[in-house]
Amino acid sequence: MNEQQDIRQYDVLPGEVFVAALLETVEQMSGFVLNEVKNEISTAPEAGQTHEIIGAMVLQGEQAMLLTLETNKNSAAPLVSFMTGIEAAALDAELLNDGITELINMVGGSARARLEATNYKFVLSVPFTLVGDGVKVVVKKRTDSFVARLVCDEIELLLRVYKLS
Amino acid sequence: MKMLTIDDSAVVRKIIAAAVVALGHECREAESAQDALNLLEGPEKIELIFLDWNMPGMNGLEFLKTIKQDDHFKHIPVVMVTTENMPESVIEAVKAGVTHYITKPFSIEELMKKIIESLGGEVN
Repeated sequence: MNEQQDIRQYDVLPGEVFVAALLETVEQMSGFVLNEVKNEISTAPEAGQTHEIIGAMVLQGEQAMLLTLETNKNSAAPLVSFMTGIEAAALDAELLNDGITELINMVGGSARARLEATNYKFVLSVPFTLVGDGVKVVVKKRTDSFVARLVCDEIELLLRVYKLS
Repeated sequence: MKMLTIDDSAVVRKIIAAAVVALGHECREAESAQDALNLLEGPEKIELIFLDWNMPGMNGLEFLKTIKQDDHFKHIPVVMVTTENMPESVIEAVKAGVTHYITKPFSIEELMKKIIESLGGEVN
């Protein structure tokens, strides 16, 4: 039997796989149930919406991708607070940044298992975080990308997947 | 009872420490495998280890193999807590002597269950 016949072929970025991984990760680790908001606001980087913390991870494979999770301190604080049991007011910037980094690490790990038998199979790399007022990722025009906005109460997260190759 | 969590993520160490304390035990933290080895060689008696796989420097699997070859530490049960969720990774860790394997993300209930099981208790 040809092994290739068992490989699921995605014609476009499998963004919903990453959304499912994020929903599961956040619910398991913090108890928050995020909802995906569709077609409400422009989420394009050039639309002017900026954030303070971006967790990121390069996903290396035949179809290399960059996975990012954009948020603000006000969203990260309740998330990390419920993950760790530490009061939000007692969380310093290092813990907030580490919490978002760990979330992107877990999302990458969960998505990897889901995409193992597809043409988007990848291996994980070391996650990292971009921080600062108005921080954003800028990529070349016409780069294929996927974006999803997920909310729960005061928490707002933007999940992006960029196709790098 | 004293336990040790080894993870380069402070948030993961805090999550595990909170579960350990909630079960009435003490938890030490190490952000690298080398720091953990230094702590093990100290005066404190560690009776359960939580171990991340992917860490800068010595990784979790190398740390596991190191302590399982050491007569002083090889009896300590080790719970791997990692994003490495592929079957071949689990098999490799089991062969190296891991007691339990938890894949991230995990629930606090799952973590507590593994702690109790690792200490020889039963979970209803």
